[in-house]
Amino acid sequence: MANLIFFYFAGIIVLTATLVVALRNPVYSALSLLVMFFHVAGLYVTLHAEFLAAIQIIIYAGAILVLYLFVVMLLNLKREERFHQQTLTAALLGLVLFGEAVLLLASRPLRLSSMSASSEPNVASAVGNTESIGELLYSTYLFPFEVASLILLVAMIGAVILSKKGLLESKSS
Amino acid sequence: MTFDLVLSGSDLLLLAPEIFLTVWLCVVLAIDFSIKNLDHENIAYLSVGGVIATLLNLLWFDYLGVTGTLFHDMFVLDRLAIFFKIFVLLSTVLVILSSIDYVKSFRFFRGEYYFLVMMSALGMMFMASAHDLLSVFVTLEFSTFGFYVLVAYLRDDVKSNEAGLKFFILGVFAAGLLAYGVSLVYGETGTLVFSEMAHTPGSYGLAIGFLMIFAALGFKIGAVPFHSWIPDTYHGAPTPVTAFLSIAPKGAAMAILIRMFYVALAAFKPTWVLLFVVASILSMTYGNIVAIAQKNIKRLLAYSGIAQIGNVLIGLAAGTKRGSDAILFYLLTYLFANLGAFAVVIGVGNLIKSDEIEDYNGLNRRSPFLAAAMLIFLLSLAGVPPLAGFIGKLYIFVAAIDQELYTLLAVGLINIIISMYYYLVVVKKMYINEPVDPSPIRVSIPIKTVIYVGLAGTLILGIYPRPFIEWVVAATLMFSNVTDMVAAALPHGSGG
Repeated sequence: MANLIFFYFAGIIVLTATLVVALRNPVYSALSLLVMFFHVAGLYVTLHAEFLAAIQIIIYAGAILVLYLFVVMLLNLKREERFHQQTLTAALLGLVLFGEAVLLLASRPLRLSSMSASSEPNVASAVGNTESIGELLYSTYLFPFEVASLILLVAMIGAVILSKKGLLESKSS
Repeated sequence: MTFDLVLSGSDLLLLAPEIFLTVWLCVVLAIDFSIKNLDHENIAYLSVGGVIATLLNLLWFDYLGVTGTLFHDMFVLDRLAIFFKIFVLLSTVLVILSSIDYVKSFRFFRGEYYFLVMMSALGMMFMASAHDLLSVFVTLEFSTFGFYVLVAYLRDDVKSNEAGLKFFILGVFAAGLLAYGVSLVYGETGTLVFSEMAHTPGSYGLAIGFLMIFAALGFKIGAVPFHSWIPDTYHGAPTPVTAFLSIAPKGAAMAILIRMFYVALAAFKPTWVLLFVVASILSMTYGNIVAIAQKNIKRLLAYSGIAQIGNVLIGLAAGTKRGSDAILFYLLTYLFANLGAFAVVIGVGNLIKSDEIEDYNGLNRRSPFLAAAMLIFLLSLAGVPPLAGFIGKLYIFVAAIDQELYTLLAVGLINIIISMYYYLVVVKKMYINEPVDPSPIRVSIPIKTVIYVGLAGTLILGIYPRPFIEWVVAATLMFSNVTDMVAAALPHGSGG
């Protein structure tokens, strides 16, 4: 049963991910990306990472995808400007990535059965998924967490500097 | 699960330089926001004051020998970290000083410029202390974020916008590679901390993961084949930002590279040495040959920087304690010569509004001081005795001879000759060619200060290098057993 659910999610992920690059209309691509994000969240649920699943939906499906759609619609590219021929690069890169995946999988036996077994909640069950992540963020991983807050400050100031409107016009006149 | 964070006051002392700088730059930002019509020069000197105070704090730590680790080994303050923090802060001071005239040409957001420069410096200070892959990722992105904005700072200049976009897209791509590599390494070893990885058996996953991480860091230091962003970004960015970009991030990324390969991957040294030999040969040769054809001084220095990083990588290819000493010393010599050369470019560029090498014709007539300073910096970059660059190259080559890397040595020596050519072409233009416009060039006091510091550094490191060599030898003391580790680990570690 666990395997069946896994293959359902994994299959849809592969299918929709292919559609993202195969579809010609960028809006459809974004929508199939949305479907993919939901199924990745589903995978997280089967691994007992409920918090990650929620985050996946809120941040990726909610925020990042909406941003993509904004960009796609704002740019409003003409049909012929949308595509660049990159078949050769894509084929080479794909070959490298495929070879890498084969190497990784071939170097050790595939452990699908143990995957569902190891997904038994060990730490999370005691206090709950979200609590344990919160505790880790404020104890073991406090340093990267605090540094990330500084990154947000830089990003905020940087966004203002790069995008504030009306500066070029008013000062030059 | 218990809440297992124990932090005492003495632990936080290790973070004192970073905390101080964070507070200081927030104060600078607040002052810039709240006082209208405050001259940006005051903000600049305020920033320089804060950075120098942090620098003194670190020098004091170095003198006292304060060391330790924090946050479960994620943050480490050892003498290597202190060296690179001093390195980053020194370049920050010089960059801020040489920016003051340039910033006058900005029409808006003058104060925020200094804030972003200090913010990037803070990120690089954290990089020097990063001791696990998660902190590496977060701190690397932190420092790069400030640069994304700084490179595109000239909003009405198409070139600057293009440079910023190019840098951003390739930088994000490198970040993606880094994250993917980190995930592979974590999957293989089950840990993120360098020192805990030291005894994992080799596997394809580990090899691919570290290759990805190496690619991302190679992007940071601008080594061939990850250099493609360098020329256009250096060309389009505001010149002081180019100067900053050409030295500080390279030092900070080098700190991570040394830590990663000397601590986490010491057992696989025979494998990764090859990686660095190839990257080094490619960077030196490509950088020097393409530099010959350059017409723009910023692009020339960009390609020469790629070549210089090739020299630095010789030290990593040697993979010994002496190799790491040589890297640190070489970076120090490069700091003074490179920032000095950029200060001259900024000084000239501020007045004639051009960075073409043609416009350096007869610089000696227009400003003998600038021409003489540029001559010394270029000769030091080329490695002419008795200047600092000579000792730096000598040190690196000795490290290579120790490990019998004669091919690398031969390529390095040939490249010195090639580099001599294009450096001397600039010198010839400055001294022999006639100027089109003979009006004298006046240099402002902050830029003069930077040039004097650069000259002093270049001459002192070249003539009396002993105290500095002792300093770098002490900074890498923890690697003195790196070869023993290889010997101990070799029987188990099949090449990764």
